[in-house]
Amino acid sequence: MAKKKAESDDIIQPLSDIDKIIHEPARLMIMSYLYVVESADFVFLRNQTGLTDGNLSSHLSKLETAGYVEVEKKFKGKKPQTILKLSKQGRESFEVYRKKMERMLSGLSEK
Amino acid sequence: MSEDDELKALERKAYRSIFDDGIWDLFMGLIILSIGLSTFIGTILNLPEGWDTIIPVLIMNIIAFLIFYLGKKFITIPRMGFVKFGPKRKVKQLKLKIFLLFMFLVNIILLFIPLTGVLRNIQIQPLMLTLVLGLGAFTLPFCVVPYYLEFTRLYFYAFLAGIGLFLTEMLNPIVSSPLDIILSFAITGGAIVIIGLYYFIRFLKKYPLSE
Repeated sequence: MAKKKAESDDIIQPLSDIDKIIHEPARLMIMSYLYVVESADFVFLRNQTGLTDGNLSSHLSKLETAGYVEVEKKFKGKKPQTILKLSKQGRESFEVYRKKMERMLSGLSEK
Repeated sequence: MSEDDELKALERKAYRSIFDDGIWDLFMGLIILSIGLSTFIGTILNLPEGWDTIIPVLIMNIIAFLIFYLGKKFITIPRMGFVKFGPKRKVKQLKLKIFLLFMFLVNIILLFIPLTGVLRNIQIQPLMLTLVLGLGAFTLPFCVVPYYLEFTRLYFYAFLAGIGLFLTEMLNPIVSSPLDIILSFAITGGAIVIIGLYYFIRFLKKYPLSE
């Protein structure tokens, strides 16, 4: 009994180390999109993720505060444009997150 | 599907969405349409032999390029947004640009061939010649574009572009020249323009302009 508990603890343990900022579904989606492209603007990200303006904006603020996303605001003609890209820290954190999740999920499937 | 594959699929999905606007389709359709229409325009304007094709083709190609450039800048990007893809895509795009530049130069040379009178001396059955010329000069080079762009609809357009001359030869006994060439390229180019318009309208509905 105690052995089984220890085994399940080993599998579940990495969950407590999982980056909570990235783990939220909408933010995970945003991070995934920004990971596969060099940069994108707010409109492109909104269309791809299907999030509302407000929702996307609030998640981006959290990611920016965490230092994962770099936000550059500029004007294209008279229209404002917000360019987004993953920071070096964001890219590394996303890779760490992926490895942890992969390890945990593969551990679960082995059991 | 592994996580790496999922990320690749996500990148591909984001990348392919740039073809949702139908502007590439319209561009290719207009280029093919220009071959037929240029003959028509050349006849109307009564341009000297040889130049009656070159000048209208150049004008129509410039129009197609303008539609492509302005459409992307003023219609697609404000609705769909702006994206820059990774280094692998950039290398592919650079290769495509080099290829297109090369093809542009080849086409310029091909345009001037009728002026030399070389074609009058060729002794091949016209139907076979048009098929070989069409598939060799249009379809094969056109197939390089969808390969680099990963834009599968273009393979079909490459085929349509290639059979244009063959169709002209087939129509020749039924309708007189230059109506045969106008009709054949209007059919092939027109079909692509219609597909492009369908995608363009769908794009406008799917991506309304945000306030």
